[in-house]
Amino acid sequence: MLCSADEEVRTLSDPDEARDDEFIDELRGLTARFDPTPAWVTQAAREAYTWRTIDAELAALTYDSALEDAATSGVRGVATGEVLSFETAEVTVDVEVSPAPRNRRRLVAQLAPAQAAQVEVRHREGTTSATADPLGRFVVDGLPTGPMSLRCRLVSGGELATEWTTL
Amino acid sequence: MGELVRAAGDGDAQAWNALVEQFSGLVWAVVRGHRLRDADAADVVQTTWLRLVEHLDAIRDADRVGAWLVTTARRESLRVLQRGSRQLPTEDVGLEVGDPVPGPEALAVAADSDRALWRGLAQLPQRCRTLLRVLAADPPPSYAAVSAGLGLPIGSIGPTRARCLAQLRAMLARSDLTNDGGPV
Repeated sequence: MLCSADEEVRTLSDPDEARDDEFIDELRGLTARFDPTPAWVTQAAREAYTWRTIDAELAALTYDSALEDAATSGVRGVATGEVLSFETAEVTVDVEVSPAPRNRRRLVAQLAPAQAAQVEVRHREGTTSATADPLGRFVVDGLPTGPMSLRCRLVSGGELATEWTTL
Repeated sequence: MGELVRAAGDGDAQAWNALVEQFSGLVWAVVRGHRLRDADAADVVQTTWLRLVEHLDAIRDADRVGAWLVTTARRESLRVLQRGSRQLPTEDVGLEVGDPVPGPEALAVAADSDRALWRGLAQLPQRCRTLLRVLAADPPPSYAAVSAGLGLPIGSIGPTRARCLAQLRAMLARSDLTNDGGPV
């Protein structure tokens, strides 16, 4: 029986496959009882839509030192000084993330090419403002863990928003 | 599905809600397959959806949004896991704090066999555990989304599923032999 790319036509001509189909259905029922998607998680997903920015250029996450460390040494440990890099075609935002008291996070960041900017850190508890100095440096402390995005209004007039990342 | 992505990209919040309705279970299945504990699973789910909001206009093939969500959730789960501060060592088997724990009511009425199955699922290697959680998501994902999302050739999903389920059956058979089988 030919299958199209998206649809799987179940055929009972293969008893093993039918048995596996039933087992998956059993797991589906089990998961629905033991670990369903919490309603508030789905609600947070709906609310994500309100964070949409139409006028800022997206700065993609192009480097994460945690992945580099894992690739080279395989060592797992509490992150200290994890470095993230976000890039648009013209601007790079390097961010060093370090732990702060009460399971918070501290960001020490640098814009390149160096330039001043108004920064808005968007996170789980709302937004925190910061100002990048003419050398492009800024520090934000006491951030909650969870999703984070930096919105930078550059003195040159452009605006960028970093790809949402989990702190 | 492509229509929903385009409409959401044009500012239609109802289209966005329909996308969430369709894929919320799938994204949850990916993060739980990676054994992220509750708060971290919720964070990665939200980061995934927030990323989609920013990428609505850029998703090349709007019909592949399911695959995009699976890929993004998987990569972000791995990022969080690599930092090592949010999950118990994978050498620990059995139901640890990081594993999804059924609520007290669900446990109270659960049969021994259900609990054994749940424990077996938690003990599978990560790739099998994630594949089975994804295939068991509600609504069921298309094999195209599973293939592209998990990086498996589409023709290998059936055989890989069979191998993982065989491993799970073997685990359950072994636990049957070690239990005395008496009532709880």
